[in-house]
Amino acid sequence: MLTLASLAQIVVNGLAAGVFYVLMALGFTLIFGILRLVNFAHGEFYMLGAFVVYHLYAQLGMNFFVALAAAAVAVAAVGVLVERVVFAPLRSRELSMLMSALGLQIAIQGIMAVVEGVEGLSLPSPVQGVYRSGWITFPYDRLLVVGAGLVVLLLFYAFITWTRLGQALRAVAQDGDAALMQGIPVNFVYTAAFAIGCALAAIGGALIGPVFSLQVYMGQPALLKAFIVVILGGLGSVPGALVGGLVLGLGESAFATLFGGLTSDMFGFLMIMGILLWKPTGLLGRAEA
Amino acid sequence: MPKPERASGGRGWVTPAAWAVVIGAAFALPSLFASAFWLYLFDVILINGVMALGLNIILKTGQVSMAHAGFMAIGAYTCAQLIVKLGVPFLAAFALGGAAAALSALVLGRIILRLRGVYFLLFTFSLNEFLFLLSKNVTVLTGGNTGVMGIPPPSLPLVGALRSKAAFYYFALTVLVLASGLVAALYRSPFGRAMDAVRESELLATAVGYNPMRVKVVAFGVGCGLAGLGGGLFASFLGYIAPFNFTFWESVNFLLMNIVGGASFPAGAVIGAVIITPLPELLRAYVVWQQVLYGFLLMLLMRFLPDGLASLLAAPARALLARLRAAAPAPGVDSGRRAGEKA
Repeated sequence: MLTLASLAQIVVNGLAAGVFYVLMALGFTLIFGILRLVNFAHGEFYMLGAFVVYHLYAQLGMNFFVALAAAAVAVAAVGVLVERVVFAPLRSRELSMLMSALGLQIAIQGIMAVVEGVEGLSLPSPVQGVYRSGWITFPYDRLLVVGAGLVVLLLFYAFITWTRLGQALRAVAQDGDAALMQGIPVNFVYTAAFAIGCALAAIGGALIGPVFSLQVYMGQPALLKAFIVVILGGLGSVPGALVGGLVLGLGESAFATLFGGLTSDMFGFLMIMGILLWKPTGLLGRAEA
Repeated sequence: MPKPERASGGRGWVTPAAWAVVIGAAFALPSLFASAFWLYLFDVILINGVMALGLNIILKTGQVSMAHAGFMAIGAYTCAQLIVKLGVPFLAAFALGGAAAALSALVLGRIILRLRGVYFLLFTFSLNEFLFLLSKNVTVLTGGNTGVMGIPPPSLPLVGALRSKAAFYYFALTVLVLASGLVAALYRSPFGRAMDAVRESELLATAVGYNPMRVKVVAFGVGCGLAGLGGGLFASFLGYIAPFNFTFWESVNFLLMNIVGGASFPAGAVIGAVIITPLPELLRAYVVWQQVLYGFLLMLLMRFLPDGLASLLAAPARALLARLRAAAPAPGVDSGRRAGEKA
C-alpha cells in the first residue's frame, strides 16, 4: 500500500542510491567522453577506493574524511600509471582499449583477491544512528553519502566550469584535434581525465563502503549500474549522468518498495528498453556519428 | 563481368583442396590424440568455434555484441529442458534450442539494434547480466542456481548415443563444418555484400537501397541462432548446465576469439577458438594468479597484436596461395594481379 510515509521513504532511499550512481557514472562518462574508452575497469577503481579507506580509517584509525581524500589521491595515481602504460599506446583504437580495460579489470581483481582475500569485510560507518522526523527515517550513513556526494559533485562542477584544466577537458571532449590546434596539451588532458574519473569512482566506493560490505568483486555490480545510468543519460554527457543516476536511484527504490528487491535489479534494464524504444541516444545524449 | 570478391575462394582447385586437407586433418585428429584430456579440449574448441562463428556474423554488420553467452544460454536451457523434462529427441531439441535463441534475437534485435557502436555494446552487456539474473531466478524454467542436471549425451538416429568424447568430436566437427559452410555461403551471397555495406556506412547502404535495420536484425538473428546451437552442443557435452556457465566473461571470450583470430573473415573466428580455448588450461598450473595472468595477456595482445593473428599471417598466406595458383593456373585467371589487389 502506497502511503505518504512510504513515498517519502522511497525518495530518501532513492536519493542515497542515486547520488552514489551519479558518482560512478560521472567518472565513467568523463573517461568515455574524452578518451573514447569504455572503462570496464571502472568498478575496480571504486573497489580500490573502498579498500584504501578500509585500511586507513578502519585499521589505522585515521579520520574518515582524510582517509577519503587519501583514497581519491591514491587511486588517481594508479589511474595515471594505468593510463600512461595501458591506454596511451592504444589511443583511438576503441575496441582494443575496451578489451584492454577488460584485461585490466580482471588483473586488478585478481591481484586484490590475492592481497586482500575474497571474504567480505565490513567498514564501520563514521556516523551512527538514524534521523527521524515525523514519518521520515533517514539513516545517518546514507545521509553522509548524499551530503558528501553532493559536495564532491559541486566541486567537480566548479572545477569543470571555472578552472583552466576543466575548460581544457571540455574542449578535448568536444573536438580533440581542434583542442590540439589551440595549443591544449591533449595527452596531459587524457591522463588527467582518466585520473579524475578514477578518483570519482574511488570516492563513490569509499562513501558507499560503510553502507554495503567490502569485497574484491564488488566492482562488477557497480559497473553495471554505471552502464545503465550512462545509457539512460547519454554517453559522455555530464548532465545526463546526473539525471540518469537520480532517475535510476529513485526508480529502483520505488520498485524495491512496491515489488521487492529482485525486480528492482531488473527495473534498470526494463527502463532502458523502454527509453530506447523512444529515444535511442539516451535522455540527454547526442547522436553518435 | 567477373566478380572480384570471389578471388579468395571461388575458382581454381587450390583453395578447396586446402580446405579439404584442413577438414580431413581435423577428422583424423582423435585417432592421433586419444587421451581424454586432449579429446575434452578438442570438443570444447569445436563448441567455441561454433559460438565464435555466430558472433562473427554479428560483427560483420559492425555491431559488437556482448550478450553472446546469454543467447548461448537460451539455446542450452531450451535444448536441455526439452530433452530432460519432455523427452524430446536430441536433434529436434538441438534445433529448437537454436530456433529459440534466433527468435529471441529477432524480437529483441528490432528494439536494441536501433543502438549503434558503444551504446549497443553497453546494452548487450547489461542484457547478458539480465539473462544471467533470469537464469538464476526463474527456477521453474532453469532450475535456478543448481541448473539442469543429467542431460544425456547427443543421440542421433541410426548412430545412437554419442557417449564417448571422440564420438562427440565427430558430431561437433560436422556441425562446425556445416556452420562454416553456411556462413561462407552467406558472406558470398548478396546478403553478405549488404552486411559489408551496412558495416562501412549505414547511410550509404541506405542510399544504394539496402535496409540497414533489416540486414542487422537478420544477421543478429542468424548469429544468435548459431549461439543457441552452440549452447545445445555445450549442454549435451557437459551433461550439466548452470547460470555460471553463461556469464558475461564467456561473451568476452567469444569476442576475444574473433579479435585474436581476425574478425574480418569467418575462418578467423574458428582460428581464434583454437588459440583461446586452451589458454585457461595452460594457465591452470598457477591457480592463484590465473586471473591476473589472463588479464595481462589480454592487455598485451591488444597492445601488440590488435588486429589478430590473421594480420600477421594474412600476407604470407596470400603470397603462398598466389604462388600455388601460379604453379597450377586455372584458365583465364590472372592470380598474381588479383592477389595483389586484395592486399
